Amino acid sequence: MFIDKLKEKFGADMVETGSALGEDSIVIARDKAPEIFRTLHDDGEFAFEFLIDVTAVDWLERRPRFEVVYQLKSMSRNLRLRVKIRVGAGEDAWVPSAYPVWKSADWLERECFDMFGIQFRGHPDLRRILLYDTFVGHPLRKDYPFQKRQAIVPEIDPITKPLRPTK
Amino acid sequence: MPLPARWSQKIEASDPADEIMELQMGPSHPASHGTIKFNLKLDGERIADCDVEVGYLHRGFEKMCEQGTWTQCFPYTDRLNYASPCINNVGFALAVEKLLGLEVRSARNICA
Repeated sequence: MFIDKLKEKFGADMVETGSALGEDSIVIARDKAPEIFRTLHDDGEFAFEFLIDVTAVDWLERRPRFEVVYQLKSMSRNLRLRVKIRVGAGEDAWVPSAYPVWKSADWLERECFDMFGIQFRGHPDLRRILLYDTFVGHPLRKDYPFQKRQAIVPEIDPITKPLRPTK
Repeated sequence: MPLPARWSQKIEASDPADEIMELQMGPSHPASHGTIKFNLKLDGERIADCDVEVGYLHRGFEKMCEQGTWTQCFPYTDRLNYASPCINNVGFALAVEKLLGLEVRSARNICA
């Protein structure tokens, strides 16, 4: 089985493994993530060429609070794998960027940062992708109120700062 | 508003006599299929850099789906891509079936 090969390869660097509903997933240690990503991509036995999605799960009550989830696909070996990294709240909400291994991580990690406020260290251009720069908070966190509204742009006084300069 | 790191990088025109022109294309441009904005840096007719703003149609479907039951999520999956609503419906339906452990008979079998 393919998940046994992973266990053989990474051993104690994997916190947890699981197979449910025909889908394999592993939980890895954050500090080992760059090496594991590199092996999953480069090793011919796995050959995960494609990073489909990066997202996060906010468990709110659980410690550590967040799970960052990577969906991987190997087209040459017809494999799928879900990789998770558990991170805490506040300053601890960071993971190393997968951008050096998969270029598709660029926009995917920007979205995850935008929605959950997870920091991706080593990302070349980590800024909001869907929301605007002045938006406060990260809306897919469970403690972000569903009905909350925010001003789309900060208010501009049209007298002191005209939108279009007069001729 | 501070400019993003990569976008603020200076680009030199290929001809020293020229300069880079910044052009904001969109968010509603007849040449684009939907609502999207391209912040372009042009070196003559060549695109030297392009920063894409894709958030204009972002409605927070995931957050809305958290509030409802699984049947109430179908209209959202319908609207993820108006060119192919059915494949998104099917994807969501198959995920629900898988999570609930349902075995759904095909319409052909029901009619027979």
